[in-house]
Amino acid sequence: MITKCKFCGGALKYDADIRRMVCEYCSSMFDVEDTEEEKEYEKMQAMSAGKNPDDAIGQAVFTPENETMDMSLYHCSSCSGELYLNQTEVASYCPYCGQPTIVFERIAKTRKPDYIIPFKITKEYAVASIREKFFKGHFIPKELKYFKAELLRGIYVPYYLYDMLYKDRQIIRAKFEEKNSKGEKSSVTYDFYREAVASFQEIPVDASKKIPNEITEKLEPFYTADLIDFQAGYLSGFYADLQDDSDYTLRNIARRRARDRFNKLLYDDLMAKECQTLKSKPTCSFEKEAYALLPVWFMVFTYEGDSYTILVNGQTGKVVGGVPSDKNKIALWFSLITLLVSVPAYHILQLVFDPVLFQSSDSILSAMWVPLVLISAAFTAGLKNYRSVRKSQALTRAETIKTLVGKREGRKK
Amino acid sequence: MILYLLVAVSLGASVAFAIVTDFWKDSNEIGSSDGNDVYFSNQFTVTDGKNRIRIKDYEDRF
Repeated sequence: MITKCKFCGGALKYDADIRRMVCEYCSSMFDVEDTEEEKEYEKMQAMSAGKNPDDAIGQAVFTPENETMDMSLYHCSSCSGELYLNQTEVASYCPYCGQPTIVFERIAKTRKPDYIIPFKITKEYAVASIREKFFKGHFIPKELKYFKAELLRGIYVPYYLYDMLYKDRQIIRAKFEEKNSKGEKSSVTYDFYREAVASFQEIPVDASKKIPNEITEKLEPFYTADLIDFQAGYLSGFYADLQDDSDYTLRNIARRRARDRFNKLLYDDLMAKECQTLKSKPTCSFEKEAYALLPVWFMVFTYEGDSYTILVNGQTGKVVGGVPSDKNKIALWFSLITLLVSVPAYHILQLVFDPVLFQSSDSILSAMWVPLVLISAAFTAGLKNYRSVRKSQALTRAETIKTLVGKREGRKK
Repeated sequence: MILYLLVAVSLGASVAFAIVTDFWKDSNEIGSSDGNDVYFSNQFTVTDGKNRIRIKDYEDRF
């Protein structure tokens, strides 16, 4: 593969918009497949001239015998993150923590991926998608809405795609709602026995420890119809993170995803209101696995001393992340709504709990359960929302990635 | 009177908490994984099933 222009020698980069390799200097365009053939030709020429073919090419090198390739490994001294680049690229800052503390470490031999989904979403489109989300947000600080497009970096995230056969026999306790002859609803519970088999194709599992699985699962779906055989030319202009999670862990995650999906299908089959598995005997076999690189845009920014990461699916444009909040705006809205509800509520309470009707304070207290239930329901709903947003913010804060990487480093020691 | 005031303010605050956090969720939590797994291509078949069983009759299968 050449990643240099055959006309002017400039670096070629993959352009997601036109899906071709483009020379940054003379604007010549090449198909990725053509550059692959060109590289093979150069390699053969170099070999026939008695030279080392790798020297002739000077770029990412495939060794088909062992299905590996050479990549430049960069290391971040701030978060300990590692990332790989096609050798024509130079990293200027860490896409995980946003710090300019990234240094070239060495040329590393890595497993060549089987497939790749090239970036279909351009940087401009990714920026526009994030801006659209930010502008729609009522509580997103104004200054964030005008972020710099340079903050975005395209990274190919490593995934394993598993084909699996999942079988299980289960005793399920299911709750149904039934109506009697008078039309009154009641709840009944029955036990069921089910045996079922499911075959799953291409369940994706993120193979990088640096990005929590909860985030990558939110980034899905990735449509595998766009998968093509891996060609290193697609990496030009992008970073690549390669597998650092163990096969054992990845298979366990795939098993968990298959089990969850299987149980959902099984429960749907019963059409009950609630289902619970009492006994089960699952068996799971892996039919096929493939190593693929999938495209993700990363945007790391800092707000009030904390780093946040927003991700954009490089195939579909789906945006994922937890954005910091404008606390003053939240406090203002909270105070206003409290006032707007409390004043009428106070008058309604005075009218409803009229001392003439409720002759003793005991009877008033005993009738207070209605507003107390309302308070409790509203508070519970609020707490659920609060936890959900805080969890989302914590997950996408680069600090989380730092901690994960730190833990990994700790295990190595 | 104080009891009414306390209950009214608590009600107002909890309703405000629910509404504001709901807006906050819509505004600041971007992306969701709900229903993502439906895109897995799969074939699912129930090969055996009995309704309204007694558990003890099936325990030997586990």
